[in-house]
Amino acid sequence: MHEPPVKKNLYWCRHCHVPLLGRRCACGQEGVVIPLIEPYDVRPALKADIQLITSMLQERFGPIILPRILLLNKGGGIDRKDLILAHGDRFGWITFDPISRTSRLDITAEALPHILNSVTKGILDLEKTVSNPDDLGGRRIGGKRVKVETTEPDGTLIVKYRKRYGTGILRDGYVRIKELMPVTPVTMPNPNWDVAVEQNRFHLKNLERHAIRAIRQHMKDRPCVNVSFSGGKDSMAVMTIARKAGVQDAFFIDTGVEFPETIEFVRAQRVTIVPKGGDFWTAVEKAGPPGKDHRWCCKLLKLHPLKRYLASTGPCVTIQGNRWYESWNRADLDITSQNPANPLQLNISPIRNWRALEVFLYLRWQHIDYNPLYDRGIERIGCYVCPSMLESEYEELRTMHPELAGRWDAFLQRWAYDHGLPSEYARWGLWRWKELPPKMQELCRDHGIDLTQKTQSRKSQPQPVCETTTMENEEIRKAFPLLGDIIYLDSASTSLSPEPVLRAMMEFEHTYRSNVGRGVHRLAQIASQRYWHAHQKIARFIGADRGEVVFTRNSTEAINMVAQGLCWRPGDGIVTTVLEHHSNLLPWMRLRQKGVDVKIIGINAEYSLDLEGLEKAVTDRTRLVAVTHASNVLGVLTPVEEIARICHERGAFFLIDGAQSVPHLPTDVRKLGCDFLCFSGHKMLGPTGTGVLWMKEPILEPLLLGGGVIETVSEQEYVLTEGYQRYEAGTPNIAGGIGLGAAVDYLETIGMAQIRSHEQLLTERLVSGLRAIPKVKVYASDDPARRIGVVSFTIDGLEPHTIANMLDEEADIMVRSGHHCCMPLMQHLGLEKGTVRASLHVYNHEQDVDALIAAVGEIVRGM
Amino acid sequence: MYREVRCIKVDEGSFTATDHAVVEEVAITLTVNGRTMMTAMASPDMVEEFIVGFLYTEQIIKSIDEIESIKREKNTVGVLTKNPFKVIGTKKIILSGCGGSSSFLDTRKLPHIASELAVTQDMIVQGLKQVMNSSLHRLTGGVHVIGLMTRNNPVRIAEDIGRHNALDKVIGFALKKGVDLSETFVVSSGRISSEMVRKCLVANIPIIVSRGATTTLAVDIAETTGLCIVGFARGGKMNIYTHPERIEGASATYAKTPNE
Repeated sequence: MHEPPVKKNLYWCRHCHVPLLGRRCACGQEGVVIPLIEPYDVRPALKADIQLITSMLQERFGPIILPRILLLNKGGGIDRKDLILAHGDRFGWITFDPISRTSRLDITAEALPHILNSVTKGILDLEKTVSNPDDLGGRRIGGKRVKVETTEPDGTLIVKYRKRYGTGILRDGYVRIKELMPVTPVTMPNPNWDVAVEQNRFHLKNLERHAIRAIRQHMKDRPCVNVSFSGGKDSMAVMTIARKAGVQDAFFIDTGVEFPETIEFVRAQRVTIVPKGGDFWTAVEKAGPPGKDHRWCCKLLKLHPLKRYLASTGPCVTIQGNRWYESWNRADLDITSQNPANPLQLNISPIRNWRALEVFLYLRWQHIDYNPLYDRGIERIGCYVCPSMLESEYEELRTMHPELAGRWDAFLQRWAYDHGLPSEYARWGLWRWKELPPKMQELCRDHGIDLTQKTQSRKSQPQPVCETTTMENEEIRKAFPLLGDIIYLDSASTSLSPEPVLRAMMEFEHTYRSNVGRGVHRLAQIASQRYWHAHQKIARFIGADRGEVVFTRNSTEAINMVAQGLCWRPGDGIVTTVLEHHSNLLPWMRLRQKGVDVKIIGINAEYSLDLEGLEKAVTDRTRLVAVTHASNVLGVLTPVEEIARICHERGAFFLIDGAQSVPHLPTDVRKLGCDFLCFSGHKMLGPTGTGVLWMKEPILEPLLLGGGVIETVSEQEYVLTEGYQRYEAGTPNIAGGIGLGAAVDYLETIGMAQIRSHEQLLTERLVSGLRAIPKVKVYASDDPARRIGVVSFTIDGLEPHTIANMLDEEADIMVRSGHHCCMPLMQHLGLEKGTVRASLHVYNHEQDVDALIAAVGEIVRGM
Repeated sequence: MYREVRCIKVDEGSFTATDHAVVEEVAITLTVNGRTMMTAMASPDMVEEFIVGFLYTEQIIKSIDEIESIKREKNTVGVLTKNPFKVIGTKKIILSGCGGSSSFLDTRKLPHIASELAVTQDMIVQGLKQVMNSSLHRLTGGVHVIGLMTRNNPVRIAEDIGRHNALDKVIGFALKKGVDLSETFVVSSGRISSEMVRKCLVANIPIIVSRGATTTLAVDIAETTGLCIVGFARGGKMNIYTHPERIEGASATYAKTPNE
């Protein structure tokens, strides 16, 4: 790593009493050198800093007035540690102790000439206070530790012996004298910052010119150029400079955990705000607090939205305000750099060699306002939960926004409790590292704090998911914690279950777990009635005012129950289609063994069903027509009402495979006109292991016989019972059934019509976005009214499984790939390797669609 | 609701075999959250309304929203409340019918009527007509009839072998329809006992009218709680026993002093 030419010193003009950006002042004088501490960043003390230092100084020493020009040089320590520079001298230190939550001021000997005249207290006259005068014998008193009698409070104070002064540290009745020397009080002129700007104007102009040149040199390296704006001072400076270089566009990524002041400040600038992607609060329950050495949050909250933005701009040059002096690991910043995670973006850092002092002086020179948080003692603007924030800054957050800090504190305490960590984990800010650095380890050792995780999950209750009636997409997503850090686009395979469904199942297990239809004790009664009620809910959900609703394991079982439950004779006819999932194909194909004639109808060029062909195929020998309502590959809807009419005319049963349709469209079996409707509970936010068979007339022979299906049994014969119980032999998936009822309640709170229109919008966005990418072929109907949110696509030259893998690895997007259990359809489409399939549900939002489009675009570009 | 039953008709020494319409009586068992609450002897119609009204007037639920589901199976009705582990009030076994047992009555614990309702004599007369019009009543002579009325319309008429059941039925119907009970009055073919009064108080029905008599306990409770009892309402006549201000034209003539 090459050492960049950082300035390790601050120059100071003894004539004008201002800091200098270069060696020479405008007055002609060469500045004196003030050595700085690593990483050598220096900044003006702002309102909150001045207030803090002044109040501590005055409390300790009396009515001392600080100069208007006060500088802070950031150092490293347990927490905040700044060297205060005043009057061109190293004045003192201000530190924050995360344990006692207090700030501390220690003055240096160099401060004494400037303050001695105003000191009224905090000064220890050794002659008068020393307990044993012999201690002061000898030539050198500096460095000695003597016992004293004094009422002064502990800490750094001024010591005096005869005519000499120095600083010392008083503790437990002893003072350690650091030095003693003759001090001549001085009164220095007190210029303000405008003078500092004036005397450095030449340097500021130079800095600006160099930065503009650097931008101009590279801004045409890509087709477009923009500024990355964070709301902080550095990006404010860089945006000003960039605009002078002719750059207009700027963007801000909203992480969702920004200071409200920052959001307000950003809104007041002419900047595009990129909306947030993942949800920090949901993701943190899974991932735990982020650490300085474990910044998972940046990937989720910054990188993903950035990718979306870049997909909309295309390859671009992005101007950033990052600087060498910000921290130890920014020190190797080059003028241009490329982030391997964002191949579309070339980064330029035109102010990388500026210190914070240059930035603030520049903003003052240009009369540009900065984020008001700087005046509140926040040195580094970022997310308010950022592990890199100082505890001293976090205390500011507690004062300014107690509700935000309170929420984070509550999470940290809960996390600590669940993992057997001591409360200091939260209270002292120890959470900010996954692995504590040596200084913090020492601190823990000194205080007997053990941070090894004891238990893995003593799971406390997370914040109750608020059950709103408005059900906006944001609220809905909160009910699905899985979405915290991944993008789920595989709902056609199985959907996710929201918290209310899971709670209903856990309530069953915890409070009334029992068998159904068996037993008179209260648990059995409650379980039986809840399970029965779930059947009622499904019936209402699909508009079934007659017939039977039977709970099955899935759609496949439901369809097999029909296939096995009817009596077949050779010559009977079945008509089905090439769109079918194997589950609505194989049960019928197997009947060929019984001499049943099975006809498979095809599709035409726009993927719609060959209705004419179907009409011709249904004869008076046809006993059953089995058709999917929506294709799980192409998303295309079939004309079921037309088919129902044909079936009624010819006296054939009509079975609809509603696995993909019932979860996404309002369903009414009276309008559909079918005799059998089969669908999956787990695709409609219900638990896995649930499905439904609705039959208009209970004419089927049950697939299984056994407990629960009978009225009476004797050794000679049995009589089956009425109702759905006839078709549900044995102990069913009770928790699943109850959970499915809760899923219906949840869907009805949102409304199926709302779900339909939400998904239609997203599907349109997805289809048109994918179609715009070269080499991508999209297999979907063009008519939004004839399709659901299931979109298959292929990329020329890449296999679907490879693509799905890349989407998972690189973009945390879950999709399905392959033939999707529809091999005849794939053969018909000529797609031997199948497709990649993205499927939507109520909890997806625009950012998910944009992320997929961006990721596919990246994959294509990388080929 | 009735069945033709063979019987022997005796008339001045002559015996004839004939069929007579006899009203049905069945046992309905109510379980709440899996626990058997009571078995009522009742007429087998408006069963769900009966159960809802019963739960409400026995103060087992405070609102119909507390009910999650009602499941009927032959002669058992199972009710689940939204919280199935809520502690239900003390179990009562009540045998309904004309000799209904009493629940514990403490007038200090009973709710008082909160209603501005007043009705005219004519409304009472009309109400009574509708109630006595019941064909089942005329056919079998074996049921009580209760009508729930507003000033303008009848809300529901219900019949049952027990008048308490019939009252629960109309109250249950009103709860299911979201009717404001403080704007209604009850007309009953049977006597007004303290039990009828208690149910009206819980349901906040301010006026109860009967063709027949009332009891002293009923009158005492009604007086304290603001319920208006009207008895012996036949033709154009009626006796107003308590709170005559609820009958238009009546309060001026009421002679009783407040402390009697």
